[in-house]
Amino acid sequence: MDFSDDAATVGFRAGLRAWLRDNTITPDPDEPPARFLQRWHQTLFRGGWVGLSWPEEYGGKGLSNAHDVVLNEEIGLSGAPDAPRIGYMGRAFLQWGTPEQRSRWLPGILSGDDYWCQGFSEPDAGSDLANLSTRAERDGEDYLITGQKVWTSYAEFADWGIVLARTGPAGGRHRGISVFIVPMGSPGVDVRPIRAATGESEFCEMFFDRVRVPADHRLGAEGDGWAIAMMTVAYERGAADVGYLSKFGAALGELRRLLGDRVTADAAVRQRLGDLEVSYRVLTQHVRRRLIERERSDALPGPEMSVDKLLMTDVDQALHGAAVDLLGPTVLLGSGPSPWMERYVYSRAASIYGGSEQVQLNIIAQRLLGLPR
Amino acid sequence: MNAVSTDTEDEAAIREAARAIAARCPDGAEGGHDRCWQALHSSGFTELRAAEDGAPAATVTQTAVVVEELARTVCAAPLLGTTLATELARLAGVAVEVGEPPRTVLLGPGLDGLGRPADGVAFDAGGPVRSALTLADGAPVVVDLGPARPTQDLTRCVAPPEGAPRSGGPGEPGAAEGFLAVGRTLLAADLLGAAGGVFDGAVEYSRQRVQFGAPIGSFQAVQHLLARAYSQLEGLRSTVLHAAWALDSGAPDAAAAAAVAKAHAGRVGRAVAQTAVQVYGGVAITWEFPAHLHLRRVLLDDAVLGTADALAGALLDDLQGAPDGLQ
Repeated sequence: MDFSDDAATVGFRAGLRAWLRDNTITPDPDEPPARFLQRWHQTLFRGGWVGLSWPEEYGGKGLSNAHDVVLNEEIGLSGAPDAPRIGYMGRAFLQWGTPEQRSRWLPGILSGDDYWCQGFSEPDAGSDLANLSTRAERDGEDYLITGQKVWTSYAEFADWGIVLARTGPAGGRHRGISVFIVPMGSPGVDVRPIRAATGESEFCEMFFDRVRVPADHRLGAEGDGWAIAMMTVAYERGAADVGYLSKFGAALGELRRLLGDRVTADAAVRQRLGDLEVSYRVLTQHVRRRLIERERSDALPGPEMSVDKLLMTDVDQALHGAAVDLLGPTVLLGSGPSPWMERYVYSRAASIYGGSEQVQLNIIAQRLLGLPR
Repeated sequence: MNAVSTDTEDEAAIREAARAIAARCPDGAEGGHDRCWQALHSSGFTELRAAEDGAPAATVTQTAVVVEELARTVCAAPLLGTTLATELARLAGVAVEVGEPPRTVLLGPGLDGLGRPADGVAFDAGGPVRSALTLADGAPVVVDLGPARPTQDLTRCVAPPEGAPRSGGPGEPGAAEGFLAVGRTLLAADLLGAAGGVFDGAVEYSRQRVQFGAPIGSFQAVQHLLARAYSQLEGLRSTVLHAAWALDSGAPDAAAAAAVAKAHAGRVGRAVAQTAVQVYGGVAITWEFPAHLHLRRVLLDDAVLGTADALAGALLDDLQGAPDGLQ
């Protein structure tokens, strides 16, 4: 298997690296994280780095997926904020949207001028997403949406929400779910931020009370919602994972520097960091292999991505757990916000969000190993 | 099972041929592997790393495929040891006579690298192996071997040097480093096969074995054990593929890639084999059942050419700019 850099991306990488050096932005004082990320998205768009693998017809660059990988890799290496995760929305609009919907919403998604959030999870529909109970009732030319969503990142700043709601009978599981595009300023939408254990307020609760949405805001047919939701969950794993990898690599390097002489002088520290270095490199090699396989077969990601999620989580949690252990009092006795502590707490979420570790293990056992239910 | 999806056409054909030989392997420590050796020999699989027009006959990737497939049944034919010796002979410029009995490699008493004739031990010295190759101060040396004896890995013998060492020529610079990198990668492939073989058996067994009125593979506790082991094996396959590619393509960090693969294989191979034993349950603790042969193989493999502990530490020393590091 050929792990070498794709020749087509070599010049692209060099140009991007130079651009990032000169154009990376930092948050203004008191600028909320969501607004900062939006400003970064718009900056990237003006630089020509958004929608690389989207068709040119819809404002994209028509490049290969390998370019998205390079983008995430270089952004992670440079320490710049994450690349916007909008690829799944482009894919959803291209596969299920009408021409009118594409021309209405895709430009704002690409440019970052419209900020979007994703209303999937509910209090009783976490790992069991098919248990969602938010309803969309037909009312003439409109739908009326009623229900509650949770864990919606940055909903308080969003202009638009992409929302899963039940159009079929209650208890219909994955059947009878549809996708709606909800203007977040609509009457009846109430958003309340949740302060996370990290200290940050990224997640929100959203309450919908008979929110009126025109029928042409439904993406796909009634009942297409489950297929759309499943595609979005796995869609951006491969390329975006590369961005996380770069961050893990940077964190590992920073940890080694902070530990200084202890790395070689203290046998326990040396062993732990050595094991982390091995696991981290194996993970980068594995993600590369997946991207090569996907490029070769042109297939959409499937259940094999659950393996990648597990491997990614293992490294995330081992790395940030080790950092808190080895830095010890330096981190634990500090007052106020602490980046290592925040990263540690956030790493504990890695085995919960995007399908919990136990759900991933079920998927591997049943869909990859074919074990009986 | 079909070819692994990462194989090229050539690799898939080689895998199929190796798998056909492994399918007739008697799968045990009780002998009968001379036929496996004959079959490997007539397929050209005992000369994969021999010089052919100045280059190895097969790539490291192709060689790793054969090693992996034979390790899936923990075949006792001395494929790995002799392949390592062929690699060392080619790198060190040792002339090989046609019809010579196969050689293996002489390792140090700690098994972590090549050994000296005075106190070395020939690894994987069963079957037709009669001599071993090593380097002494960079120059190749051949030693004849005393009687082979079994080890705790019931599928691999060792043998002591016997008589005076013979010179194998002046040697070539870089042979020791090149040998370690290829050797570690092939050991990692052996671990992938030994662990993967017993893992696949355990998955199949969990579908058949009924307890509490249901196949045990339908229980979530068992499913999660197997699913985690599977993800570990996939990561292991990725790092073996990567190390083999790095060597085949002459990547500058091939030595580190091989060390990473071997370190990871040592850890994961053992973890996966132990999971398989757990899923098999009591039957895996019987002498007759081959699961313990896989467990024994992964333990010895971890020790050969650097344990996971040693290689992970050495990798870190390299990053910190310490001398020695991976050598």
